[in-house]
Amino acid sequence: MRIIQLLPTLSYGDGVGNDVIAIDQIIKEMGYKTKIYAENIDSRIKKGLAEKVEKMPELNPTDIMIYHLSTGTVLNDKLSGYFGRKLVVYHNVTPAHFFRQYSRNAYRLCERGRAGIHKLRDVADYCWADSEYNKQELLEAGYRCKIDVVPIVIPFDDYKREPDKTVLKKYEDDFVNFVFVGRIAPNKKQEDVILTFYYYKKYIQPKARLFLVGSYQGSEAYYERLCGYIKRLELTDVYITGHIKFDEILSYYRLADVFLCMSEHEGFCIPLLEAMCFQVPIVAYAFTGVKETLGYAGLKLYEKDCRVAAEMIHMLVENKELREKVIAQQNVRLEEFSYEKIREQIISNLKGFIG
Amino acid sequence: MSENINIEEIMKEIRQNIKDRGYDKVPVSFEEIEMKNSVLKIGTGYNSDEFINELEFLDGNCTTSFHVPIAGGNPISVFIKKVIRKMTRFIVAPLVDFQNAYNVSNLKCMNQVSEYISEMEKYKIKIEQLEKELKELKEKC
Repeated sequence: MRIIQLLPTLSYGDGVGNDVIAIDQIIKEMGYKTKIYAENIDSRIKKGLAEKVEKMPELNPTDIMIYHLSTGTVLNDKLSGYFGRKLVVYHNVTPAHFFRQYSRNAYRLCERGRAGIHKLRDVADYCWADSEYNKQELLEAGYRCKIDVVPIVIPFDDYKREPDKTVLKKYEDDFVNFVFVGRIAPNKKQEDVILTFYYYKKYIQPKARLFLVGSYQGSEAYYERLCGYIKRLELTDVYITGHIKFDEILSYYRLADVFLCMSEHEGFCIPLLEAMCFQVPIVAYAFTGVKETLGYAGLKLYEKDCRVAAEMIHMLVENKELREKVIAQQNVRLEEFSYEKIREQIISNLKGFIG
Repeated sequence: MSENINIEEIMKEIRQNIKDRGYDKVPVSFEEIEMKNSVLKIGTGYNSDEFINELEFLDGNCTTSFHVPIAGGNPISVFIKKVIRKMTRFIVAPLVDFQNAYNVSNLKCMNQVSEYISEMEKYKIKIEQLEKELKELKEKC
């Protein structure tokens, strides 16, 4: 019996890519033959780890195909045509309406991806969802097969690498640094992060800086609007980094006094765990997958009020005792996503499916 | 796990702080920000003037040349630039050719779309006329 993993794009260093590679390693350790197949493979991925879809062998009915659903792709349509038992890993697809004003391409991809969720309803023999939120989406789409919640595997050891010293040197001072890490995308509501920063800088502490760390490729219109917003608010000290190297991302986490997330749609939200890993206290709008990933940790906003968010940040910066408590809670929460725990869960669930 | 942090107490303090600081209304909302240079926005309706302007721009700029004239007073600098141009020709020229072919194809497509829209405009006028006639006939009956 073989176990293969299939996905549209195997990117280097992104959440789904890391999850796929970690699952590949775990399956190998379980003693099964396995391989990753993708339509597009990032050139930085280790040679031989993955092959193009065209090279995928014909599967037997007893083989297992693990399919990662995260976007609109022709693979969503083709999946029913492949032999083998199907395990669909649902990483969530952003609802298309967020992109309506900004990107025709992103809108269509998301629309197609959401349609894919329904298409695979009767194709999947078993599902994994990154979060309970994702599981609920599958249930709402009418999935009848067994669905287990298996959090995404995060390579926490990578975060122990050396950060970029140039970035650290440039901004290491007495400013209060706000950080949000994630693609510049309309569902992530970076405009609300900017507004919170505006309130904080104007009414509480002028010596503050905001770093929006993430690529804006494919979201140029939204990026342009964010820049216009910053200009109209006459805000200084806001930096949108664009796509940067991994060691530079590490530097921004090191510089952060607070991690602020105002996203309105996340299936899981890996940067929250990254912030926890870097001992950065979190203030977040508790909505969709964010609420669940944070659990009891961080300071949560249940209603979106940027003034409240600014005041929460002020308290975290000024009140050392509160800050330490929040970080301590985050550390406990982070333990629940440890590699060992997720690995055990993957092995147990996979054994159950193999039978 | 949250018993260590008194959220009620925090919220009380936050509400008081908001009151004390007298937060003003934000000078501008995000929705008011225009996306002037956006070519990606959708759902804003068909604008014939914008379409024609863009088509005219495409028509006049759809091909480019690899051979960019090198100007400059310093003969050494001009010579070096010419050498670089010559050395990179084998990479850049095919890319420029490919881009030109793509642009021409794109322009042809857009011209077809333009023709189609013109036809639709004629039908639109015809439908309006027919609807008018139908209404008149209904009134007579």
